[in-house]
Amino acid sequence: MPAEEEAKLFEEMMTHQEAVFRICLGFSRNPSDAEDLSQDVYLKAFRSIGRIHSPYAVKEWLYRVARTTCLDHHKKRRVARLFLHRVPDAADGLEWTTPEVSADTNERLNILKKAVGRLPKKQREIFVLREYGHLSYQELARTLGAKAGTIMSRLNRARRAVMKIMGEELHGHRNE
Amino acid sequence: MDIETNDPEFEEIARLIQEEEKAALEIFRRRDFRREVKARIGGSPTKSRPRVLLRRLPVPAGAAVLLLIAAWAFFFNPHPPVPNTGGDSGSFVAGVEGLPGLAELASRKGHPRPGDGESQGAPQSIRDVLALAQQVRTDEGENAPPGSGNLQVPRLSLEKKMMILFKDRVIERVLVLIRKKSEEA
Repeated sequence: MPAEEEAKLFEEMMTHQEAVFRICLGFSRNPSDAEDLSQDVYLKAFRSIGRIHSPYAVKEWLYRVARTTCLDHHKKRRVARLFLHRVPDAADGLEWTTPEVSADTNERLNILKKAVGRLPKKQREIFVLREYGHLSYQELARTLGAKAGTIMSRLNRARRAVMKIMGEELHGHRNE
Repeated sequence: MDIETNDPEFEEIARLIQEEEKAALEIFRRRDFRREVKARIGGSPTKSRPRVLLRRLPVPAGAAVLLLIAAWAFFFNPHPPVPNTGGDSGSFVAGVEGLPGLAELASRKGHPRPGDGESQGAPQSIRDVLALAQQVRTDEGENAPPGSGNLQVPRLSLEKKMMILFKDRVIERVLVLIRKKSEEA
């Protein structure tokens, strides 16, 4: 691919940086991890930029790269946790603390993170892409390679599961 | 029932996500993401496509090369394994040269005697012997009486049969001698 076309595609990719960051945020534990992951996504995307055949496909292709990068990262963390006993679990750590939001919100956010982290992989990815990445049903279907009906029912199950886990966690917190 | 974002319980979750995004994006926007990515791209090796190819290449390429070498060795090996090519082959050749019938046959056919020639090593001499034996066999086949059919099984006289037996015994004795020698060594 000519250098000019590559540069053009890269600029097109950069216009989606916030969406990519939001997706990474949904998969990760905090903004710092999310930024590192976003950089990894762009690095991977740049390295395989030659595989993009149409500039119209950039957005969904980038979302797919983001999804696989985040899931790979999650898998690596889990393996490292199993064998090294050093890396804390995303669902266990209470890392989300920022002065911009209240303490109560921080606590709820941590519970939300736990809930998302506990979702099965397919539900987690669809929940994050929809709620954090703000993808439409059509975009979700194309990114995940599933039918719209499947996407809707899976998203519905994911939302219900998050609400259930959050309810249990909040109930447990109140009892403590 | 489909849960939409207007579900009161889910609204709380959506609001939490919005707050999280807002706070995180504030941090994200403070940094120059584009510059950081470009710095990482500049610091990293170029496109991964050749790297990926190179990484994936060795296993199938190695297997293919091994297969090719094996096939070449099987079909075109210029040095086929010759039994007992060590120092003992000389004595074997000497033993074969001493065969009275063989020497006589060689002189009759004008074929060089085994071991003759300037640069012949032991394996070459063995090949000569085998070639001569083959020649004798062919001649015997030609001398077979007509009407013996396509099988060309020669009818041998008693004298020839005895000669073959004699040769076999001589070769056997020579081999036994070689074996003894090698055991002693």
